[in-house]
Amino acid sequence: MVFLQPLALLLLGAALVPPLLHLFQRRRPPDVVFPAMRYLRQTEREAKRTIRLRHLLLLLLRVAAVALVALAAGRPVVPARVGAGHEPTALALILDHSLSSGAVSRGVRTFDDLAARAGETLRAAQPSDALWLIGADGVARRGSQEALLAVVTAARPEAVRLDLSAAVATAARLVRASGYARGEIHVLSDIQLSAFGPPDSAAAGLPVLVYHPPADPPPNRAVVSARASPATWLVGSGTVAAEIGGAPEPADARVAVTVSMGGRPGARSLVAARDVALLSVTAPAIGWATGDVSLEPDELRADDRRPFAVRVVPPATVSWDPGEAGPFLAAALGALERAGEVHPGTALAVRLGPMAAEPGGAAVVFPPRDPVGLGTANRALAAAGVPWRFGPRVEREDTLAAPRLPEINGARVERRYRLESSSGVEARGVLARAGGDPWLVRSGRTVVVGSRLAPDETSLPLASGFVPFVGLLVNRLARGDEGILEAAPGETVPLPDNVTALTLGDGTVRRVEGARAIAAPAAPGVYFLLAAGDTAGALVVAPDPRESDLRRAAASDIAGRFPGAKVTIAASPQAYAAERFRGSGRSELTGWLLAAALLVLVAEALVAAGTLERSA
Amino acid sequence: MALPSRVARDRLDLLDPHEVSGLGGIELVAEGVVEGFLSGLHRSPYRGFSVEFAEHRPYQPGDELRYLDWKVVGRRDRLYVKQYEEETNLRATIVLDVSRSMAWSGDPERRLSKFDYATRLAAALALVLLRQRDATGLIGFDDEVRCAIAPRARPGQWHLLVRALLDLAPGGGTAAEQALGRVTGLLRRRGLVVFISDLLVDRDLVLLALRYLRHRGHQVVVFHVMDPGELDLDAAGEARFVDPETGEGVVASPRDLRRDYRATVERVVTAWRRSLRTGGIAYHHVSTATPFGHALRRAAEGRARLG
Repeated sequence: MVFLQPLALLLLGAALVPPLLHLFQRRRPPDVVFPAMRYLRQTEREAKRTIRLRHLLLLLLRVAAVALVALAAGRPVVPARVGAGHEPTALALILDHSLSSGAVSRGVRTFDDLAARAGETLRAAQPSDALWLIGADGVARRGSQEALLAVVTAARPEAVRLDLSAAVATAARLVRASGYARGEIHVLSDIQLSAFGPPDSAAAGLPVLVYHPPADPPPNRAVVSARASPATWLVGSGTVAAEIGGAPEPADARVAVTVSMGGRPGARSLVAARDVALLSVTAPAIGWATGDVSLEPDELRADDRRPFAVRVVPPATVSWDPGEAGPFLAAALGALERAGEVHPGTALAVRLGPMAAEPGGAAVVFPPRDPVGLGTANRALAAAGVPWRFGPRVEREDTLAAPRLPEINGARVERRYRLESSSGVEARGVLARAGGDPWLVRSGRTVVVGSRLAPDETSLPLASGFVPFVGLLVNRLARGDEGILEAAPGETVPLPDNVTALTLGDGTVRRVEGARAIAAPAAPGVYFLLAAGDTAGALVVAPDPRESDLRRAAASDIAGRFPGAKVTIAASPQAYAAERFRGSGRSELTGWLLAAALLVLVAEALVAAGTLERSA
Repeated sequence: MALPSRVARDRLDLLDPHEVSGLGGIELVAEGVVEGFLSGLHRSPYRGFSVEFAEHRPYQPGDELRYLDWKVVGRRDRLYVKQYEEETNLRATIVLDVSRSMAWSGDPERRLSKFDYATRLAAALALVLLRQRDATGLIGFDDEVRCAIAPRARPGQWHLLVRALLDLAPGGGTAAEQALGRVTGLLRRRGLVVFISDLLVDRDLVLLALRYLRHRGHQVVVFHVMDPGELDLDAAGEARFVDPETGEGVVASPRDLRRDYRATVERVVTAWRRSLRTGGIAYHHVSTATPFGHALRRAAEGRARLG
């Protein structure tokens, strides 16, 4: 037996009060003259033993009552099954309401079973427990039994992914920090194989109770990717690349895929699992457009449809200084012209060259061939309101880092001018870096390149991605296009520097100015990025493809995912209920002791009343 | 002697003894009690084998109709009953316990002590006996005989008895057997012995003495006088109870003993009643809260049986 409040055991000293009172009350009583002494003596002689026994019983009952209350104040705990409750426990309950929990298996939605178990556990909790509920979003909510029950009742499967390893690590951190002697982590999940990360010993030493009823997950097909190809369509038509995934695979290996855009159905195709379907779609009017790729419904509906976005633009009109552009850039522009992706001209043109910058105009500015013209180029940038300028020349081989521009990411740069902020503080709009310094920057519709696009300064002109990069420069970057971002619900999304707001699904606008990153909205869909009032890009929020893989981890493998943890697998609701709070191993006896004290007091009252009745 | 208005008006025999004793001395109270007692008798205790008519008195509710004098009813259209006077040579002796235990009252403010109750009962009883011309005597005793007046039926005997009662005071211990032995010497002729005591005595010796009297042909009536406080242990808290005669004490809590004590007393009373009646001795248990008339009626019933 262990006492949670051992100091309260000092109250046991109060148990001495009844015997002490008994002793102190043994003073000499007053004399009373009474002639019928022979009757009294006879009575006293006959009843002496009974009276002594009754007095002793009363004394013992009073001592017992005080001792029981003192013991109850000490909050003793004993091994489980002795008391009705359990030792105060820090309980972290992980409830999986990720997308996959919405799968229906044998007519029952997985989440409904999990929520029922969560409700039972919360109702079995005691006020002395510390309770956390960790959802699929990884957020730990601490609350009372009633508050968390309300959360469970209101919970629904969402298009988010549960990282079970991270959730267990969070739960372990909370339980350890709770200060409770006993803690438990309950995992109520469909135990997707894809939900686990590498083995994590964060929960070492802690009881982890995993609800894992044996059941086969339903076959599942999902659209795991849908992208316009290319991302910017020129007027005419375009293609949507849709990747089919999901598991387990159904018996029928082929699946019908349909694309729709602007509410109009498009191409339909039969695709094998894990294939990429290229679906042709007629491009709608110029501007941003959305669509979705869908499959025939199966047991998990939430991943059968996936949105995409595309920008439809006319080919850019470009003008350049042949002497400054050099042969490689001129050749690339020529290739783009032949492909119909650019038109030479000056009206509303994208100007290329050291002096291309002008207020409000679209320009691609690169260093002049002659360093003497560098000052003039900087003055032209300043006059155009661009907060960047060409700084010192750097002759060192560096590698380009451009995470969002795969066309140039990893290319080498041998000579460059360090791009500097004219205000002294690095301005926003860096698209690529070389050696840590800005190399490709954008301000409004002006793009500044740190090197001339010539082989003696960068390897780009000789790379296969050079022509697409030039097309990117003139058709997207110099036109203020931020491109299309993709994220899973709740995922952190780094924002382009010039984005100031985000349109939400209901048409409202959420200001994000100044934010480097945001959490992607929870609802799948297409959200547009706004920059200075114009639509600059799109954020496509779609479920994580890993949620579409419904294959489950084997019960025998789960313990290995949490090295050192005391993992218990509950294969049925009954087994889960039996194991619940058993990890704490002990139950608090306070209630029992108080009840016993009450019974003792009732017995004392009955014995005392018997005494009174005898005297009545 | 003129009685106070209340004494003359009320049935003192039926009133609370403590209240009645406040109206005057023993003599006055005894007369008032006897008057009330005699006027309220439903069944005449004087009816014997050799009775002669004494007088008429107005009919009172409760009188037996067979004593109505129908001739008077016919002549005067009023109801009168005939009263008879019995001639007797009965010799009655009242043996009164005046030991120290008799001086006790559980509630002196509201109840007579056993001694006061017993003396007034003895006076009233003596007056009743003397009024029917029985020779009546008195023996008072504690651990020895304190007074002894031989039975006489002459005028002035009652006043003699009253004075003797007034001279008595609660004394030492109780030695009833000696006093009763003395009684046997005093009562040479067969007669009535009225023994008034709280019976806090040596039970066996007293029983032996009383049975001896009965054996000698005396009619014996025992009044066992107890205070209500002795019947029911009504002390408040734990106390050291002290015997007034021996000074011995015992510590007890009435709360613990009350029920057992009551049972003990009932057992003692039952034992006395059974033992005495087995020996042909009348036993009457009276409390000091019992109206005198009730006690007198019991004595009268015993006297009637004696004839």
